[in-house]
Amino acid sequence: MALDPDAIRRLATLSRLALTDDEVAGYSESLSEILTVLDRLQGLPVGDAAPLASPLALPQALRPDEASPVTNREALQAGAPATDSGFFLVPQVLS
Amino acid sequence: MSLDTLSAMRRALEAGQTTAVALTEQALAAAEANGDLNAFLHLDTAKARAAAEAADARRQAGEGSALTGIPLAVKDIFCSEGDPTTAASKMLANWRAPYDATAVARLRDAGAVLLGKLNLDEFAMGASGENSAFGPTLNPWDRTRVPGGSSSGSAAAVAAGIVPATLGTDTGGSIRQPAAFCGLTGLKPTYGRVSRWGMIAFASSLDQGGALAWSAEDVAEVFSVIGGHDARDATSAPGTIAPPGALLSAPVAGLTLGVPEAFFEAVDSALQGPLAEARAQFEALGVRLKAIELPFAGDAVPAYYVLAPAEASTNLSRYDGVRFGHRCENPVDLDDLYRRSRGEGFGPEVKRRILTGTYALSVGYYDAYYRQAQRVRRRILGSFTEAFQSVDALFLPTTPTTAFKLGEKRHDPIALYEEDRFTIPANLAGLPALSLPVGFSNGLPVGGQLIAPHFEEGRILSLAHAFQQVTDHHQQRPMARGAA
Amino acid sequence: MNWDVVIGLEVHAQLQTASKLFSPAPNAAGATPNETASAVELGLPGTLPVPNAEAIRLALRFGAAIDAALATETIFARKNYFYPDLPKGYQISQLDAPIVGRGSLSVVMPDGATKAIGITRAHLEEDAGKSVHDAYSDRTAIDLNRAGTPLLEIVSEPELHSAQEAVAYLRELHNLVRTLEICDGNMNEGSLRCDANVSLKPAGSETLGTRTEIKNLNSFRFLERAITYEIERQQLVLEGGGAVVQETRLYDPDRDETRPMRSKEEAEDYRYFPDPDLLPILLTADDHAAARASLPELPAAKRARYETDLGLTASEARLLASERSTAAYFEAALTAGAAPKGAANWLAGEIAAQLNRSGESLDAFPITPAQLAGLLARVDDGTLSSKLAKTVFERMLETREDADVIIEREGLKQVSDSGALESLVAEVIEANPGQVEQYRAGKGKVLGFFVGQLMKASGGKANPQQLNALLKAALGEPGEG
Repeated sequence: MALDPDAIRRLATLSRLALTDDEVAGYSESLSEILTVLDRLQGLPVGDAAPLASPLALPQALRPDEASPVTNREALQAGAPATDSGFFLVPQVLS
Repeated sequence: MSLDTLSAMRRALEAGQTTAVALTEQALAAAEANGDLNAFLHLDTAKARAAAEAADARRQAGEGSALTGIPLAVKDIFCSEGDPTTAASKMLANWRAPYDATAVARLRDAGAVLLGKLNLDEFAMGASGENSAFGPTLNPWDRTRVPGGSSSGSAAAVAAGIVPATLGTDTGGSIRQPAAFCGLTGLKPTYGRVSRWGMIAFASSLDQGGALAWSAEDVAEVFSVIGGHDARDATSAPGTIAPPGALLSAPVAGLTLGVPEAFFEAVDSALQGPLAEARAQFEALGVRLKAIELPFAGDAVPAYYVLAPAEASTNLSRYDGVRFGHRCENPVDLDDLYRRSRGEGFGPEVKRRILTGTYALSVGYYDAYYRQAQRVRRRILGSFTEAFQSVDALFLPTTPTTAFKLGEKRHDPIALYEEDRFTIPANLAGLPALSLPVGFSNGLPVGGQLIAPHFEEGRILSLAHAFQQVTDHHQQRPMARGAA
Repeated sequence: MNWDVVIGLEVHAQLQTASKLFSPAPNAAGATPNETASAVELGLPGTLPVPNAEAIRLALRFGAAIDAALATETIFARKNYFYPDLPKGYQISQLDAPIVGRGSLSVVMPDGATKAIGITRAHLEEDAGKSVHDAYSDRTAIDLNRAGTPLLEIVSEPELHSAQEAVAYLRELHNLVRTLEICDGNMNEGSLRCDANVSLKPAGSETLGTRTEIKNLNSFRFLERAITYEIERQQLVLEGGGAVVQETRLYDPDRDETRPMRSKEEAEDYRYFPDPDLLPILLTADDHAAARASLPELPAAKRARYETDLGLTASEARLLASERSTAAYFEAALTAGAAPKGAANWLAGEIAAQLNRSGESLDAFPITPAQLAGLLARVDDGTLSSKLAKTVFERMLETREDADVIIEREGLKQVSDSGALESLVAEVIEANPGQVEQYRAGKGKVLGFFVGQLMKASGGKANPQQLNALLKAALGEPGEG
C-alpha cells in the first residue's frame, strides 16, 4: 500500500510535525517502501493468538498512596523555553 | 601496558597498584586522543576528577565495592542530574536532566567515576550511529566504518580503550549489534531487569538498559549493580540480581544450545567461518547443540517496525516546546509552536518513525498493523517458550554482516531495519540476550548471540564466560590511535 | 410534533487520594502554579507512571456501590492528543477493560418515583492541568497542579429524559460519591464535573437522533439550564427542517445558551492503545470483597430504613437521606438521644429555613446534632412548649450554648407545677363567670379563651396540655345545652 503526499500531510498534522514539500515527498516514498515490509504481517497465520502488549507476564505492582511534596520547581522548570511566576507560557490560545 | 578491562582495573585498585585518579586521568587522556571518534557528547572532566578523588577516599577508608573508582560512561539517553542529556537530538540540545536515571544513580552509589555522556542514534533510533544530531560515531577498528547503533558511543568508547565498560540501551539490538561490530560483549537483560526510570523512552515495551564491556565477566559486574527492582518503574521486575560470581559460574557442560539454522544461513558468507568455529567451541566445552526452528521469528522485523514506531510516536509527543526542549522562534500560534518546534527539533529518522507509528495506530489501520503485530509478537514469544522446552539457551548470529561503511546504508532505511533481524526477536519476547566476540573477518569483529529464558541472564553470562576462558577474541584490540 | 428527549451524562469525579494517580506528588490544589507538579506530571523525559493503589480501591468501592461488574483485569490506555495542559501529549485513561463495568443507580426522580438508571462503565484516568487565559494579555499560562489528579469517569446510559431527571441523577451521584468518601463533590472547584449528551427523536421512535455533547457543566443549575436550552435549540432546528450537527458545545451561563466549541481543523483521532509503561492490573475476588465490605450504608438503603425502621414519611426519608451531611446530622442527633420524628421535623423545618436564610451548609451549622437532641429532650419532657423551643433555638444560633444553659439563664421553663397552675385556673374561672356560663351552656370553644387567658397570666410558660387537663377538671365537660 502506498502513502501519497496527502496521506503524509494528514499524519504530519496528527503528529504536529512541520514538513517541507521535499520532506513530504521523501516520506511518501520511504513510508510506502516500509509499508511493503510491514504488510508482510497481513498474511501471517497467527490464528487465535491474543495480542501481546508487554513481554513481562506479571501483574502490575501498585504504589502505596503516600504523598511527597515537590520541592524543586525551579530545577524542573530550568529547561523550559518560557516561564513566568511558576507558569509555563505558550502563545495565546483562544478558548 | 595500560589497564583496559574492568576486572584488571579492579584488581589493580584493590592491590593498591593504581588509583581512581590515575585511571580517570588515563581515561580522560584516551578520550581526548580519540576525539575523532565522536564517542562522547559530553565529557565532564571536573566532575570526573572529583568523583575519582571521592572514590579513592572510599577505598582508603576500606569501603566501596567492585566498581568504586572505575571510570565508566553512559549512553546519553540516561538522565544524569545536572548534566546535558540530549538523546543525540537537537530537541534536547540544551536540556539538563534534573534527576538521575536509576541505573546512573546505582553506578554513582557504587562509586563508579562517570566520565560523561555517549553518542547514539537520535532517541536510540538507528543501527549505525549515523542518526545523531551531533554527528556520527566512528568504529575504532576501522574509522571509515560505523560502530553500529544505536549505542554507538557506548561501543566505540570501550573499543577505543577509553573506559572499560559503558551503559547502553537495547530496543531492537542497540547493545548487541554495536557490541558485535566493535568486538565487545554486550548484555541486554530480561525486559524489566534494569529500571527504565530516567532512561529516555523510545519504545517502552521493548527498551532495556544493559552494559557493554570486553568480557562477560565485566558485563556481569555492571549488570549486578544496575539491575534489580525499582519501584519507580511500573514494569520493573521484582527481585535483585545475583552477585557477579554467581552469574558467571553456572556449569555449562551438559547444557543444550538450540541453533536456529535458518538464521545461520541468512548471514553474509564472511561471518560463516567464525560462527561455525564458535559452535564447535561450545561443543568442546561440553555443550550439546540442537538444530531448532523458531516459527514467526523470521517475521520479527515487520512486527517490530510497527510496534516500536507506534510506541515511539506517542512517547515523543511530550517534546512539544512547552515545558522543556527546543522551541521554534516566534511562533504565531499554538499549532505553529507545536509543528515547527517538533519539525525543527527532530531529525529525519525520528520523524519517519513518528509518521509510521502514527499511521499504525490511526483509525482504520490499528487492527491490520498494531494489533496484528501484537499477535505476531505473541507467536514469537510462543516459539521461544516452545524452544526452551528442549534447549537451555539459543545460539545464533548477532548481525547479518560485519561493520559496514559510513554512509553505505544511510539513505536506505529498509536495509538498516533488516540489520536488526537477528536481535529483534529477543526484544519482542523480552528475553535476556548477549552478544560476544566469536572471531574476525577481514580484520572486523564478528559477534555471536546467546539468548536465554526470562530472568536467566546467569545462564548466558556463564556460557559466554566459559567460552572466553578458552578463546581470545575478546582480548583482541584495535590498533591504538597514534600507535602506528 | 412531539419529541422524546434522550440524555446521558459523563461525570468526572476527582478521587480523594493523598497523592496523584501516577506519582507521589500531592493531590492538592497548590497555592502557586506548578507547585504540586512533579517531573512525572510535567512529562519530563525519562519519567514513568506508577499507579496509586488507593485510586484503584476507591474506584472499586464506587463499582461495588452501584452493584457493577468489577474488573478482574483492568488496563490503562493512552489517549493521544496535543494540548498545552496535557503534558505528555496523551492522557493515561482506560478504553477496553475499564475497572468498573455495568451497574446501576437508584434515583429519586422529580415526580417522587424511584428509577434505576444504568451506568455503562466507570474508568480511571488522569486529570489534565489548567490553561489560564486571562493572566497575560498575549499568552496562555499553563499550570499543571491539577495534572495527574485521579479521576473516575462515570458514564451513564442514555436513560434520562429531561433536564430535571438529569439533575436528579447527578444529585444522586453527588450524594453517593460523598457518602462513599471517594470525592468531596465540590462542584465549584471542579471536583465533580459533568458532560451531557443530548439528543431528540420523534416520540415513540426507536432510532436515536444525532446528539450534541455539552462540556464541563459544574453546577446543578447550569446542568439544568444548559440541557433545557439545548433541548429547545435542537427542537427548533429539527422543526425548521434542519439537522442537528454532532458536535461539542459549551454552556455560557452569562448568556444562558450553548454554543459550539471552536471546531478543530480535522476530526480527532485519539489513537488509543494500551500504555506500554504499565502492566495489566489484576483484581482478585478478595479485592472485590474488600470493596464491598468497605461500603457505608448507601443512600437508597438509608431512605428505606428511615421509612420502615424509623417510621418517617417517604418525603422525610428522601429529604434526610439524599444529602450526605443532612443524613449525618440526623443520625448524630439520634445517637445523642433525639427521637426520629422530632429530629426530622426540625431538620425539615426550622433548620432548613435557617440554612436557607443564611446560605450556609449544614456542615457549618452553629447548633451541633447533640445540642439539637438536648433541645428536643426539653420539648419531650414538657419543659419547653414548641413556641418556647423556637425561642431557645434562636438563642442557640446566636450563642452556640446548650439549650439547658439558655433555659436556666433566661427562665424560659414552661410552668407545669400543677399547684401553681391550679391556683391560676381558679383565679381565671373566678374572674370570668360569663364565660363559665357559656361553657356550661355547651359552648366548648370557650375553653380556648380560658387557655389564652392562662397563657397570658403565666407569661407564656404554662404547659398547654396540662392547662387543658386542669381546666376540664375544674369546669367539667361542656354542657349539652
